[in-house]
Amino acid sequence: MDFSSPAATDRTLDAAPALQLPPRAAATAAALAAEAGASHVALQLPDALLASAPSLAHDVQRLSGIEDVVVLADTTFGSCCIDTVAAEHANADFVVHFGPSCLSRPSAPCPVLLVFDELPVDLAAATDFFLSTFGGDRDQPVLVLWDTPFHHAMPRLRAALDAAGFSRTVWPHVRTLFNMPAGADPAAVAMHAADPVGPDPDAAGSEAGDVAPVREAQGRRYCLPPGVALEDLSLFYVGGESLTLTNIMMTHSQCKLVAAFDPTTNAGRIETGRVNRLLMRRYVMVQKARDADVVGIVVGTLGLASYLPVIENLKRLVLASGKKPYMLAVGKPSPAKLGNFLEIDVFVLVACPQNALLESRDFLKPVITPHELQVALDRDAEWDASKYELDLVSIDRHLTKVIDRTLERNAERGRGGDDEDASDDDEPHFSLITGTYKQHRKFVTVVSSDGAGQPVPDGTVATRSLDSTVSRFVATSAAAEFLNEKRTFRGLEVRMGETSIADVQEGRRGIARGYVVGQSPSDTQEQGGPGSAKH
Amino acid sequence: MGKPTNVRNMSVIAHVDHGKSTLTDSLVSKAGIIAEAKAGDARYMDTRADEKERGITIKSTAISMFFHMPDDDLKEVKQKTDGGDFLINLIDSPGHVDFSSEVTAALRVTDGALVVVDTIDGVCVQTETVLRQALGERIKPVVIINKVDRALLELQLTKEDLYTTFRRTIESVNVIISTYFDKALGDCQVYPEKGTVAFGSGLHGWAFTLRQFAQRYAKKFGVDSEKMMTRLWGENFFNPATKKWVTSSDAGNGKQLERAFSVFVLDPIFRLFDAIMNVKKDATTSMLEKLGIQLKADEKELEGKPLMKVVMKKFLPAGDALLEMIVIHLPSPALAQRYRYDTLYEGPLDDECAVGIRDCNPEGPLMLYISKMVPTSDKGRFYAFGRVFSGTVRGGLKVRIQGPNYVVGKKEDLFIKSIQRVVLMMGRTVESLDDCPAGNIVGIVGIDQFLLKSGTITTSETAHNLKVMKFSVSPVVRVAVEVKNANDLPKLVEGLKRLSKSDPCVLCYTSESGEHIVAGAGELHLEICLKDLEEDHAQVPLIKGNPVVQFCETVQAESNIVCLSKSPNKHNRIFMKAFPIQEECAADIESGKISPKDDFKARAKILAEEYGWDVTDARKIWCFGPDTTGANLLVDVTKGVQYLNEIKDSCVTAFQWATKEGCIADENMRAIRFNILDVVLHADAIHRGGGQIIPTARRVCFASMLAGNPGIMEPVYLVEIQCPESAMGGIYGVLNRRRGHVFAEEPRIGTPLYNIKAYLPVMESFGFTASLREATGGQAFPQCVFDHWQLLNGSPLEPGKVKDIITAVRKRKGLAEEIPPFDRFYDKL
Repeated sequence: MDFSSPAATDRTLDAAPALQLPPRAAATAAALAAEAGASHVALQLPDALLASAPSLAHDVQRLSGIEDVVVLADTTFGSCCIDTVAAEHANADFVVHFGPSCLSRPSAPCPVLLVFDELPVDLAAATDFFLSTFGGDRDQPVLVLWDTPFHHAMPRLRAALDAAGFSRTVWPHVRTLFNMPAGADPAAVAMHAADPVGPDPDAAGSEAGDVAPVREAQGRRYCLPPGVALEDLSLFYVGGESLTLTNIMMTHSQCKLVAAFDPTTNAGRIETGRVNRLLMRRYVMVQKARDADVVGIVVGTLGLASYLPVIENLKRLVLASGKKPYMLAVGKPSPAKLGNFLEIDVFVLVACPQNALLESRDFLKPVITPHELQVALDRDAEWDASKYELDLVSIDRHLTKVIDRTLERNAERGRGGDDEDASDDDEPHFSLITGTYKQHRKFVTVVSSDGAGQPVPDGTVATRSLDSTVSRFVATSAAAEFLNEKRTFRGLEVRMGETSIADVQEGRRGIARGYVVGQSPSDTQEQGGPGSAKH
Repeated sequence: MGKPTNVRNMSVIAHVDHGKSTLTDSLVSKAGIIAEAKAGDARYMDTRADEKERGITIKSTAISMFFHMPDDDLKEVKQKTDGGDFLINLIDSPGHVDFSSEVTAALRVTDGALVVVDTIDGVCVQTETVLRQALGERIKPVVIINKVDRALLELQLTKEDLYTTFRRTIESVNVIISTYFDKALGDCQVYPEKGTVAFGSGLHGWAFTLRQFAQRYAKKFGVDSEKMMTRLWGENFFNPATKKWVTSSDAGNGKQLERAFSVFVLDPIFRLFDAIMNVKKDATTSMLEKLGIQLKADEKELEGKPLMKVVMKKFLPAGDALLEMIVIHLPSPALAQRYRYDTLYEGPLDDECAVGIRDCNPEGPLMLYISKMVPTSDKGRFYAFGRVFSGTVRGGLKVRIQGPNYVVGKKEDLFIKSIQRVVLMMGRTVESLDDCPAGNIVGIVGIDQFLLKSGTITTSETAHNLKVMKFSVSPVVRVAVEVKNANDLPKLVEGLKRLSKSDPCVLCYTSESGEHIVAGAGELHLEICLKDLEEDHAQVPLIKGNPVVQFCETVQAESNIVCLSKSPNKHNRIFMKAFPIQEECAADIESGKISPKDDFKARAKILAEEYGWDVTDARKIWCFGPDTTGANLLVDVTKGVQYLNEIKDSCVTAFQWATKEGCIADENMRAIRFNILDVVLHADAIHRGGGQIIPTARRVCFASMLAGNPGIMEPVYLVEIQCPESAMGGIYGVLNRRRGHVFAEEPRIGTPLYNIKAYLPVMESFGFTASLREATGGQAFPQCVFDHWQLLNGSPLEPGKVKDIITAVRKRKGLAEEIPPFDRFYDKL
């Protein structure tokens, strides 16, 4: 590298401040907020951008004339998603998300604008690399994807490539604006919002009627050109080594070639091999999930479209497979947090696509994605790396099908069921992890009934199966069984039968920062129960 | 079948190539299953194409045969019998050491063993191994010295030389037997004069015991046959001049007497051989007449070897000799189970199941041990092959299927299912049975999906398991397989399942990095397994990786400092030190001599007395690991720590995890003792939960290991080679190149052969057999058995060979190439 050239010095300077908002960020936000008719605007900023929060807020206030502007920070699950819960707390009716985004649809009904940070792209270098990689055959289909900081440069790159004669490049549609009210003026919106680059597949679909299904790569939506299969496609990615690239490669593992161009170093490289190894590791996780009896569903998002139905469906799927589900909300999952649940055999993390893959060997039990759990529990499904899926919405569609299938099978077995030998549901399966047979522990029995007239006991989950009978799951507690059977520690002093039976006493309450002890009237304190009388 | 006293369950065991399968043919033809003419060539019990091709047995095969015993022979049977009809359930087992798990499975279901020994090779490595296994299972042996024809035709031994060879072979067998003397089994040494040794040729279909000759001569001499038998062996001579039996070869007139064995037994055979092989037609005819052997018209035309085969088969049919030896000298199930039941049963020896087994009672509760799975013609289904020890098994019976991990009163590894059908295994075919009472070997249909390899079938709710078999080989060589075509993955998974069912020893699993691993006892075993997997079980094209070995991580010294790790919330601290465990102690743990199931006081006593442990420490072993049984120990040596019991579970979990996947190369740890020196815990229970303690305890294990001069252990084979002296140079050369070393070299008395014992790292053993064959011109054939773990010289932390190996392993597993540094696990106070 030539360090004496001004370009080299500029580059190092560019790389230093990690996040740089476009100069028009505040103006765009203000204009669109006004267009949406908002009265409370929430600005969500990642930690790296918090320093610019006051000026941003001030500018938005000034430019839009909206008084109530709040700044949201320190999100629970990762700053790439829209923090709907915090926005609701602030009563916001317009959310502006600044900085890197996972591009996943928010679950909040209010309008959301994404403003990406921006990094410069040396278009000439990018085009050169593209030419050197794909120049041999200018008719080959190439899907171009990019990291959000380079979004601003994509229309120009597209123009450059078109000019170079690449006729069949595929450009995804990136939405930066969600849930705009119907009354907003489309022209005004289009003027302010960032250029989505590719055509909106939804809109195209509604016109042409029968086009290829919409595909998605980490929120980047596109349609394959007619007659092109994913296997024929090559990938061109603009951006550095990141989770986004890894995840795109996981979901597009059957693509012919993945070439990545990193504008921060102006270097391009061909990605090979790495992702296959990753997928193999995930395959082991799926096998481990097959052996699991107790599944912990870890809530890793509260702001993603269809996260609730996915959680609900996962729970039903786990129950329908005769396993025991537990639902946990622990914020950002860490080994220390999940280590507290020794009775759980596998965790499934419901999170935005960017954070869904926890590649860490520090977790005692495997942490898998909803798609992986679905493959593990679906008897008809087999591991197929080319069908790897991270997007919650499409997973949800699959999940419903799998649950229906599983329930149908259960129902069939129930019908044919009196003859005991015919039921092979308790047949052990061959575990590829241990190389032996794994017998399933039954925590859940599925009770099929017509549902009418029978009282539903507490704590059971009712689901409607295909043939409109109600399948009822009766679950026993895996945690209690664990405490009874596996744990050796049974409390400090077990004085079975030695302590006399007494009423339950009110103890400490509150949160760990400061417990409240006995705020009840002081006379009860003094009287005391049999327990305290011993003092 | 209904009379346990008239059943004999036996296996045929021997060194590879000593003639088990060939000899078995004689019995099969005696039972009329194959034509007599074919016996010796058919190898009826070798059911697989590759067994025929290679000429070695790979799977043990069972066959049931009915025989009738003539009444005068029946008198000789010293145990209780009921009529002259006998059922013999015979299992032919492979001789190659890589398949010795098949032998173990065969021995479990039988009571007697026919040990085949080659006259010329004598007692070989595998002869000793299988004999030891048999005696360990309380199996009574009888011996046949095979390939006597070779001694006569090829080596042209004299009668006295032949006798010496026989005697020496029998002596060496007896030495082994007396080494493993078991009081319950009684004296098992074999004596020709008692009829427990036969001599013969499987290939030519003839064999004899002294009893047969004794009977012929008893009338002539006017003594009873038993007395005659004793005279036909050893230092007994008949002086034809004085017509007296003497015990010295000195005839008194300066002449030497020939021993009775030579005169009465070997002489007729030698003369017959001489006459036939040298085409002395007249002598042959007269001898045949004398012996009362009638030849068919076309047989009379024969000469030389073919004629000799025909004649010998008529003169001394091998089937008769073997049958007689089996029926008379091997125990019936009724007899054998009386002394075997306490080694078979895990539960209390006075419950109904134990009593049922002891009495071999067909009315008792069903106790059936499944020792292996035999593939059916229906792809993917198996006959569960096993022995009824008590009760009666029949189709439709509802039974409890107890897997190897079943514990009485728990629901784990237990299935309650109905048996579909009961079959009799007949080599390559089966025959359906209505029921089958105690004492028999059967195949069961319809339960294979509940047992992977072996298990106990019972009707009693209180039944404990029949003891799990302990194999003498372990799967130390592994290969990664993958499908050529990604869509075939499900077939591979199904194939792996079938493969692990069909072989008692093979292990199929997925490694952490997502590779499908097949692990076998040796190169040959693995080769056969992979071939089966590709051609039969999965039926898809596979890509096979290079064989790799498993390593173990260990420490070479005490941790140089007390290691400390803090919990993520910094409120809990664990102080620990790692120590190496002596090799003998680790081996004792692995062999089960010191086990987590022992009473902790008894265990502490052993540790204190034999390995110099502090008794107080030894009593506070928290657990063994990995997998709760491995040779690493977690020991609590803290004094007065509050809440310590509360975190024990978390520490144990962390210890299992850490010892299973060590920090050097993600391999098992071995021979490390972790002492928990002190623990500081937060006063509030919520802050010292599993989430805080488990990662901390794991980290401190890693830290103390890294502080204890970590080392890498590799598996080492014990190699035994028999070869002529001329081949020794080549053997030494090959071994030296492969880091092997010879530690014993003994000439075999009476032969020009040498026995070489050497240690050879498993890592270097790939292709060893082939290169040995090349270097010695095919004269040396090695037997490799996993023997022990050996420390690799050097440290994985410093540049050198060990580090290179570890880097390669880490790369293969997809780990960061650098071993994590000490301070990632160690926290400063």
